[in-house]
Amino acid sequence: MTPNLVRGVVSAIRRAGGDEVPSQVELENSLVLHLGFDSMKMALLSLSLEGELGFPILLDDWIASHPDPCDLTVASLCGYLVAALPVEDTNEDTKLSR
Amino acid sequence: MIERSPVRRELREGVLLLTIDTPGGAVNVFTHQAAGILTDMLRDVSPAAVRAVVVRSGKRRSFVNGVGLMMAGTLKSADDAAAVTRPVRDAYLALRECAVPTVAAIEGNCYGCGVELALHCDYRVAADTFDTHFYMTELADYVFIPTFGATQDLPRLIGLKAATDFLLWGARLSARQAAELGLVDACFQRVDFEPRLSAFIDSVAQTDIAERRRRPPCAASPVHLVRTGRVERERIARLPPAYRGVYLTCLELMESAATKTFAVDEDYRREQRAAAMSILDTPCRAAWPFFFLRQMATALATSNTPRTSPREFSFASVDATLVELAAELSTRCTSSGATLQGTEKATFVLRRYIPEGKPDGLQSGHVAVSTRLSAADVNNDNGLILHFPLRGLGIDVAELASADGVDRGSEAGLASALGDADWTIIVSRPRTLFVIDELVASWLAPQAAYLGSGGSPARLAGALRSFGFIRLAGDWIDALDIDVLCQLLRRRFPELRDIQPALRALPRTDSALAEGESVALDAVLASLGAFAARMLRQRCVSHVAFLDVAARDLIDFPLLHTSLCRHLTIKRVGELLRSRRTFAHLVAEADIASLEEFIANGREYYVGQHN
Repeated sequence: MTPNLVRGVVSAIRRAGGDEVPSQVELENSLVLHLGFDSMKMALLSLSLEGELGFPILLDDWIASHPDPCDLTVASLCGYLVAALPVEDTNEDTKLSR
Repeated sequence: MIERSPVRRELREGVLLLTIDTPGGAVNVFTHQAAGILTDMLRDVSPAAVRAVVVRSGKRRSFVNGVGLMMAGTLKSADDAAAVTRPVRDAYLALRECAVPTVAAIEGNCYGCGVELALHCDYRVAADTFDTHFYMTELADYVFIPTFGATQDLPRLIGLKAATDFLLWGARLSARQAAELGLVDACFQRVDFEPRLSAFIDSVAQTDIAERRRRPPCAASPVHLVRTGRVERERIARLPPAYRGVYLTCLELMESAATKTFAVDEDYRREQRAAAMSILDTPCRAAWPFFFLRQMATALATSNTPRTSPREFSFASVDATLVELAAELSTRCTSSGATLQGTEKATFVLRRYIPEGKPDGLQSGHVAVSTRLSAADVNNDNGLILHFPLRGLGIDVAELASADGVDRGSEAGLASALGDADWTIIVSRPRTLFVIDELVASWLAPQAAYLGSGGSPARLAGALRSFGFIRLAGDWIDALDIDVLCQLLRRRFPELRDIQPALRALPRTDSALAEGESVALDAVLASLGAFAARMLRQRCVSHVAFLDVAARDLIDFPLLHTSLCRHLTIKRVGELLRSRRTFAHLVAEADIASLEEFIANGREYYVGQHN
């Protein structure tokens, strides 16, 4: 998980979450508990992540992999993206890091 | 972080107003936090200080749109369901057991658990506005049984037949229709909604609540109930096999409720257990992610709407053939009564779309309206074109087609208004044909080719039904111009012969079924896959989600496979291509080339797509 990936994810979270997202976003923050995300905002997060990553991305597998929606953390999302993205797209010189 | 409660409380002249306004979104999602706060507020209600409770929305166009599908996505066992749904159930129980009369004042979309919230109130009143409509999403969109009382309360309130139409078959109800059925007790124009709501509250505040809550079920004779049950079972038997169990269980719950004066806790628990089992079942697991695709398409269609753009619209036309349509759109996309304060009403002038029209473009504020399938290239010089060729079939899917460079503000504003009025909007930049027409042709051409080469309609129907298609294309044929349809199919599949008799032989939804012919199904999937690949390659749509929503709403692409592009992974398209020899005569050569190009490109439609 590169710093650029984390920065891109946090930026996408801010765009999708709007005013409800606190100024400081931590890796261990739960999107539901701490950042005010509901299912509607998760759909917007898909789009804002696409803006960062350059690919349409679906989050339902990530959501379904957690027994409790409260466990959907920023770190867990970054980990999911690292596993889901094609290898070259998580490298430092991809769109995300530019 | 801005902390704002999702439920506001205000006591006004003895009436407790509870306003749901979940932060940060355009619609209300009844989250656990909102549920917990509502429960606490209702627990504090004392008849000594409060004569009635009114639940309403702080969102302009949404009463409550859902409870949050993440809950459904994360359930791992039926036991989880009880724990996960407890906050919402507690809130609804608090409403049902409130010590004073409760009134749901509904303005804007009322969907799924929003309907259930309203059902737990003693009374419901609705605003007669274009964006106030009622829809049970659970079975129709996600293939699971409602969790919060709808199977128990609806049949008693509106009768078994109306309840099955609404809950099993996804009927959408306007405020007036809801009032006619008894789903709401009254329906008021927006212009005098507040005074009439106040008068209504005064009239019910003295009601004997115990009596009200024991009201007898909607009158229906036992014979009528048996007949309704039989008709519904016949309809369920025609569904794809994977759906039948959940629909039958839901019907049985409703039949049991239809004869009772009131539901007891055990009835609601039985529904809850059945709901949990259905959420864990394969059809729901496949269907629920479609929610994200639909929301993505909606967000994309309405993105870039300038904050200053008008929120109210009117439509006008000097073309005699479009006057009626302009009046209907005005009704559906503009609130009844006066324009809200502080907003400006924008007028769109409707003009008939003429493909061969002068290439001088449309003036600002003009929209060309196209209501028929067309085999001619789209004339992009018409500027903004609203194309909805299947409206006559009750399919409210509109393509908003424009040339590059058209003002995105008008496009997004119109998409937003139509979307609020419950239309599905596909935003496109067509290169040759309209995207909708491309999809119709790609759906019908392989079926016509199969039937034209001596294939059996019953085996075609069997193949499509076993894959999960419910509505079949034969239903369309009488309502469409068959000559235009033939031209359209020939454009997509030049080798196709004897199209007209083949189209007339297309199986209908209620046609006889035989064992499915896999070759026919493979050809249909290959043709649809080629459509998706071509539309994206030509950038006719800006996002794959538009294609998925179009396929779902126009041709009923099965939720069992989530969506067209979710289903067509590189692996699946590769498998199709490996067996191309068996169906190559049923699809255009160009389609095979499009699929090969998709494979060569090596990119799934979505990252995170599983095979």
